[in-house]
Amino acid sequence: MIKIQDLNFHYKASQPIYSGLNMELHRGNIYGLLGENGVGKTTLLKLISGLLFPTTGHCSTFDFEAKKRYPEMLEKIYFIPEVYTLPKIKMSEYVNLYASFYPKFDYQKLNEYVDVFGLSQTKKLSEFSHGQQKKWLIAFGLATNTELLLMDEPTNGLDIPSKSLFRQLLVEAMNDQKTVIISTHQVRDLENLIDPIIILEHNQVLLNNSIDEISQKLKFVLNEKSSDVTLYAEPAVGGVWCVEPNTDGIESKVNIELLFNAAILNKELFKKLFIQN
Amino acid sequence: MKNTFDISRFGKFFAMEFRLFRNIILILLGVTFLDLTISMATFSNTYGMLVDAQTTTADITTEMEMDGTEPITLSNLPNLSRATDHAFEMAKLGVNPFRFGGAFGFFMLILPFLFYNFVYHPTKSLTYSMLPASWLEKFMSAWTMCVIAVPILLFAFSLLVAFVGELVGAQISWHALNLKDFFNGFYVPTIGAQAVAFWGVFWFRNKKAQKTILTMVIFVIAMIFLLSYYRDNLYFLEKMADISRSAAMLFAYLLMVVLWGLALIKYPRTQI
Repeated sequence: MIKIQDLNFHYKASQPIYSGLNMELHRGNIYGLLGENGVGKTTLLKLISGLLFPTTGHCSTFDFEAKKRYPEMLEKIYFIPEVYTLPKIKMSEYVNLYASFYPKFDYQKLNEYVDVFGLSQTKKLSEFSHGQQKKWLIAFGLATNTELLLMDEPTNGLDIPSKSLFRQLLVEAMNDQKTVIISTHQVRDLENLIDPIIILEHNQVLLNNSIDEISQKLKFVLNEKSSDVTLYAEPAVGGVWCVEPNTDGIESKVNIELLFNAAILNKELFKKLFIQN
Repeated sequence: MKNTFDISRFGKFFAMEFRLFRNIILILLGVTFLDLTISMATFSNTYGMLVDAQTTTADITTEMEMDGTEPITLSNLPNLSRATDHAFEMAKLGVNPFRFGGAFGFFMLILPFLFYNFVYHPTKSLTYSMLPASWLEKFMSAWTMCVIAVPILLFAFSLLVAFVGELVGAQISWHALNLKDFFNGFYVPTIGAQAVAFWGVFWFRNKKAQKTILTMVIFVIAMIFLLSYYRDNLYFLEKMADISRSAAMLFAYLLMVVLWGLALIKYPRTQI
């Protein structure tokens, strides 16, 4: 569904963001896009949606060259940005303006989402708090029923109950034809939701694998202390959480935060383990 | 082709934009209304005062003639008399319903900045850029809005205000509704000047107004230098005198089309 081939991208020629990036993303998944600040997570979302153009190489979305921003491609994508400016209009007006552009827009679902998030229909969108504005964008985005939903830090600014609601609504809205890509730093908010996981590092991808594949190759165990084979260790109550190569086929629950830290500390090993194999 | 331009999608997008900009359009209509109303009131007042003044002058002249005093003639107050007559003749014509001066003209020129200043803005333009319409449909919607739709709406509104104004006693100069004069005398120069703003909005990513003004200042200075370079060339000046009017018109048309063309080229090539 999304195919990235030999993609190079930079804002300044001296500081490449991506060099020879190759990646394929498939339908029916909620991808978690992780990476340190400035690594190019938002840039990747913008390249996929055609808002940014590859310096060289190709990015195709639904078999369209993304940078052409063809209407047939755009009607299958909804982008929820991290930073946004909503117009000084009420939500009914917003719906009247934009909903008809999305062929599968579900008005009934939108009303349900608005009720669940407890958003006021009488206030103007610009008068909403940051969190309420984000809830509105999530509600509208889910109601568009687009095949690809791009979310940049969707849980930033949401209160704790809303984060839980967000997870529930997203799971309910998912089906085999849809794909969601969530760029986030708040991995704990999205644990048990995102699968596969993509970890970006400067110019490259360290990992683009499903939770199953990750747990086959790595184990997340609570040991008394770290050992020579430990890739990453973090003190915890009752011992040390360790990320280690899963040489003995132990099944363990993937801890995304530990995984991310292990990947950042062992870049070459992760590339060898997940990308080159 | 459906990916590039679809008339129904264009119509839908244009209708959406028109609704989105309706507050700005309402302000423009309000300014037009005020402009015309003040003009009608001022002209009617001036006309009344001039009628009074002429009547009084005629009375005084008659009295002076009866008293044997030398009457006021063109020879002793020529300038005042001519100016008064001219003003009287002008006032008799009434208000031109297309009184496109002042605030109205200014608004027309900056229309692209009022509507489309957000284009390419990383956060403000995101919804706009991601809406399912092609770049050509979005561009043509902006062009239609600035060059055709809003001007026509304002002209129609001006006519309506003038018509109502006449019903309540204002002096309206309907003979000013000369389509040719209107087109060459107002529409083309205004839209031509607006093309600069239209180009600036789609050419520059940020600080659009400042960069557009700066570019125009540089352009005008360059033109002045270019013309002064040929100043001593009499042959050139003679030629210019012959063709200046048509050349100026041609240049204006050409520049307008070139500016729109540059905006059209730039728009799909700009990242957000």
